[in-house]
This record gives sequence, C-alpha cells and structure tokens, in this order.
Amino acid sequence: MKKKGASHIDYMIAISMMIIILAILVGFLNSFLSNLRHESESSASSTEAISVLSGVLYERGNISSRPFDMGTKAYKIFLVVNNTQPYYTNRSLIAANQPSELVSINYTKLGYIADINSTVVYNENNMSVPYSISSDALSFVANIASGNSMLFTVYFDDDSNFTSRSVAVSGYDNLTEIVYPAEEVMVVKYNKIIDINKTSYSLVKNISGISDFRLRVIDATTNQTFLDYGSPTPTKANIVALQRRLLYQNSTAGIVQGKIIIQTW
Amino acid sequence: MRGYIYTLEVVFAAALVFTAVIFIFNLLSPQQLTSTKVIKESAYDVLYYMDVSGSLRPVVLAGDEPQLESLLSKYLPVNVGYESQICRESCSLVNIETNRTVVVVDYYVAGLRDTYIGSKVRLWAWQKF
Repeated sequence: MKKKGASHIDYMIAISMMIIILAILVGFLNSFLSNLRHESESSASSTEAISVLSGVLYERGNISSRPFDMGTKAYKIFLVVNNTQPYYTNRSLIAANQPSELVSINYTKLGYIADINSTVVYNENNMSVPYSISSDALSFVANIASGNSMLFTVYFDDDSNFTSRSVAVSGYDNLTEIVYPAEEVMVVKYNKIIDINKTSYSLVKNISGISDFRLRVIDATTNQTFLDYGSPTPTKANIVALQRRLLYQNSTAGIVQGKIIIQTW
Repeated sequence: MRGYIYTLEVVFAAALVFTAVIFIFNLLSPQQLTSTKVIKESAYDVLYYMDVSGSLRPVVLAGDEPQLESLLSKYLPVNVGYESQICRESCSLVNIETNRTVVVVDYYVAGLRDTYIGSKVRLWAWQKF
C-alpha cells in the first residue's frame, strides 16, 4: 500500500539537512565575525597610524594638545656663486681662482625675521659649511675655481631654540652672488622631538586617543635611530606599521633626510 | 503535520539565504578602503619628500622618467606598484595595472630656481599584493 505524506524518515532527513546547514551557517558566521573583528581592529589601527603620519608635518599645537604635530615651517634659500667675468664686482679684474670668496646675505634685507642660530649652510655635496653670523648678516667662504659656479643651500627657521654655531670666517668679496627667493619647507622640529621624548607615554596616549603605539624617527642615510618613543612592539598582536619619508632638524639645526615609522596595535 | 513541514521549509529557506549573504560578505574585504587611502597618502608624501629634499625638480626639468622611477622605487613601499610620467596637459595611460584599484596623484612643478618648468608628475599607484 502506497503511503501518502511525510514519513519519520523524511523528517529525520530534513532535520539532518537543516542541522548541517545550520552548522555551516554557524561556521561561516563565526569566521565572518572573527574577520570583521580583525578588520575592524586593523582598520582602527590603520586610521590611527594614517592620522599620525598625515599630521606629523603640521604645526597646529603643542605637546599637550596635539603631540604628533611635530612640524615647523623652515625656509630654504638657494645661493649661486659664479666665478665668471660678469659676476665680478670689479669688472676690470680678470676671472681667477677665488680660494676665499666671501659670500654674504642679510636676512632683514631679504624680508625675513630669522632665528639666526637655526641657520645651516650646505654645499652641493650636502656637506655643512661653517659660517659666521652676526645680528642678521650671514657670511661664509667658498673656494671656487675660475669659470666654475657653486650652489649653496641655506636653511633657517623662525621659531627655534638652537645654540649659536657661528665661527670666524674671513675672505674677499670679489663676486656678486645670485640669491633666490626663500622657499618654505615643512620639517620635523627638533624641539617637538625633545618634547615628545620627555613626555610620559600614558599622557601622550591619553591626549592622542591612540591605543598603543611606537614611533621612530630614523636617519635615512645612516639608518641610525634618532627617536624611539612608545611602547615596545609586542611579539603577538595585530600591528599596523606605516612609514613616511620627511626632513627633520637634528640637535645642531641640520636638516636631515629621514623617515618616520609608526606602529599601532 | 503539514504545519511542521511548512515551518521546516521556512527555516531551511532562511538558513540558505543567511548562508548566501554571509558567504558574499566574506568575499568583500573592508581592508581595501584603508589600503587605497594609505597608497594615495604614500604616493603624495613621496613626491613631496622628493621635492623638499631637492631631487624632484632637476629630474622633472630634465624630463628624465627612468631616473624619476628609480627614485620612486627607493622611496615607495615594496608592495606598491606604480607608473609615473612627466607631462604637461595630457598624460598617456601606459603600463597601468588594469585589474587593481589604481590611485592617481598629480604633483605640479612650476620651476627650478630661475628656470620655468610648468610640468606635472603623474603617479599611478596600486597595491601589488
């Protein structure tokens, strides 16, 4: 006799299938929620790291309001010394080697109120050039062969606190230099690096609202660490690390090519 | 009895729908949005750094794209693929990754000291892995 409707076996099969599907569903749900939690943590850490890096060259406050805004506006002036006839102050002179050509600029005449102790002069090989500074007049000496031209870069800041590194220089001013207008350059300020290094980690965490972090400033040329601040990197955690290239001031007002690395977790 | 069967069918159908929805959401990664932002910031930051450190403008003035890409390879993260071009108005789309989300950054360079350049560096960047 043919039986109509669902039998016990049909119910058992249906319930079994449903249990299997529910198990798959729970598996998916568990994996989904776990991924979501990881993504959410990573995303939060990424956002924090991005926010630190994108704000690092801003100059918007002090250590107690915006601890990671470590930027300052510095100025860069290009200076060209050309040892050819048209640049001689005395046109009757014949172009000759100038071992002690005195190069001078005056910040006030250029229209800038500079913090004179923040001055640093580099030659074309990025080597620091000794200089003399008095009031607002900067002087240094160039050793330039006849027919050659040399490029110097002068950096200065208007709100820093460096010790004077002025030395006596002497020479003869035979050539007229070409001085280009100052360009603004955002760099990481030495004083801000000192400030953050002196401030307790928990305070910076509270002000910034970042969970946990480690911040490093590294000299990109020598790979030496200039600042290592924050909590040690844990061996097991969901860590986001971002890096940015930038210029920073060292303890002698030198402008250094560096990189900043932020790790958050 | 028929009521039980309907209930089972509804539960079965709902479970199938939920499974499908969760499976689809699993395939969509929210990480992509953050990565795109990081790549865009990195691309701009690298060009700005090259500019302030003095290496960008001479390269743009010389129109030396191989040198530009050599510098970019030093500074961009290893997992970022890129293509760059020095151009004025229109830049050609060559060697750009077609299967990835690509961000574009334009960096305008007016001049180098007293020499007018009037060009831009267009940098396309994407996540390699």
